[in-house]
Amino acid sequence: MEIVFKGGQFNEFTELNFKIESEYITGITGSGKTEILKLIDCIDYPKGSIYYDDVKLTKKNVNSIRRQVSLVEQEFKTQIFLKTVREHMLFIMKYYRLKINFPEKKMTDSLKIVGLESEYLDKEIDSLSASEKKLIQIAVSLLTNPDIILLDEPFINLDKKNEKLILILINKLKENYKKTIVIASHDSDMLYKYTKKMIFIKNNKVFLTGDTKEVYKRVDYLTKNKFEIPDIVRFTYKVIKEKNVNIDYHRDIRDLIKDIYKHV
Amino acid sequence: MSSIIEVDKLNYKNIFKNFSISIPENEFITISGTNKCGKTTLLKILSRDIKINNSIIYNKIYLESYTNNEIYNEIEAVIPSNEINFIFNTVEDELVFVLDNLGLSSEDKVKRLRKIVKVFKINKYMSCNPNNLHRNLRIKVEMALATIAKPKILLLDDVCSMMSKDETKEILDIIKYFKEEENMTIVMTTDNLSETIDSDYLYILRNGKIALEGKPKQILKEDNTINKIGLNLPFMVDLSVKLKDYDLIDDIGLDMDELVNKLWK
Repeated sequence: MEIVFKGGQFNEFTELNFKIESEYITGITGSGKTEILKLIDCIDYPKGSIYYDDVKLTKKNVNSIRRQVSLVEQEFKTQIFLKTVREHMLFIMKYYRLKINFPEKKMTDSLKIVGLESEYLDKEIDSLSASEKKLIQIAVSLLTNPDIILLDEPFINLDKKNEKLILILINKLKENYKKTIVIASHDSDMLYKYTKKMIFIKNNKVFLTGDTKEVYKRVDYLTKNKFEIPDIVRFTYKVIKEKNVNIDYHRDIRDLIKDIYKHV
Repeated sequence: MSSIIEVDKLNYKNIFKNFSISIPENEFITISGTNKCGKTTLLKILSRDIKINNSIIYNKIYLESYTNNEIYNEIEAVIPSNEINFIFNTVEDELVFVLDNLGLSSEDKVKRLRKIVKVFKINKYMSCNPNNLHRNLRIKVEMALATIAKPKILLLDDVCSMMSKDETKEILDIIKYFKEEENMTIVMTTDNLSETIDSDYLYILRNGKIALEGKPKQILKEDNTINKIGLNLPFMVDLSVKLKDYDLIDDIGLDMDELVNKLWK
């Protein structure tokens, strides 16, 4: 699903003109990134215009559009009286008034997509590890069959192994299930490596958008505006600028090394 | 080098079995490891968040034998996952409350408050409600509260996990300040090895055991072991280790300018 912001006032934001393309992984960085995710998730009903596949968000259709968007928050938030994964999932289905004929099957199917066995339904949420919690959160987000999955700092508190696990899952959701993915993160190294498009937010406005590999080449411009540059880009930029060596910008360190080898 | 606090043959749940570690005085120690390696638990044990008997020795005496008054303000911890609630409505009131209980002269109180506000650069937020601050600012306020009473030991649990590289550098500079100017011993956990490079000593834990320990620049050369443990190598380490494999450089370096100048003279 494609999302288009067409100007106007959005809470504290002004001049939000940008497009999130269907079935891509888009990254958002800068201060206010979580708030942008909340706008897309229609948590608040904004004054500005947002289009979901050419349908304008209105008071009438806000509920049906909300069901097509799922926000995976930084922390696993649940109600205090809900102990197990099953209880939490049933609560979410009720909360969104989902008409599901076979809830048990829906829950196990969602777990299966994220690679977890149905035994997890009876596990207590408090007993889960950080990565299990993140996987369960994503499974919960799938209950509504959303077209768009928004992830707010999904790798916080995850180590490298678990980060990879989540990234593989995100890619699977995009490739096999045709989901549109938006990742809000402060981690420029991760955004550079895994996103296709980037949106930079500054002073409550969209500062820069574009193809990830291309936008990050504007090192001076981004640095001047206090955006973080991925290490691999900073290195490549330095080599090109200071040594006049014509190496390419790479996402993978192994490709960079091959390129260095050719040029020393 | 004498240790200020040490863990002696600690047994705790199924996380630690006969675990020992020693923290030397007035050094900046980093503890790293993957999820569930025990690093946060260790910090909670050192901060008496989790109470343990007969295993933790502080200044040669078991930690549990100190009264609260004796040890109050000597060991301070910032553990963001604990999600504390601030009592007062402004950052200033929070800081002043701690100061008031230190028995300082009013002149010294003002001096100390000014110093802390300057070190953490929080003057803009003094009248803000600390409960409404963004996570990273909140952590800074928590750190200011933890350091205002000049503790001997400052324990920090993954405080930079959501910070940008610039914000992280700021925190690392603040840590350096307290170590050098106020002789604090600082123990910080992190799963980001690039935060450990400037520490005096690095422990990498795995399943409740010390897998690697030593000066960070030496430890980070063990790229195979670190990869196996499941931690990310900082970019510069990763790059220079691989370039060394290709015989393009002789030694692992962490400085980007230096490396570029070595490759293209």
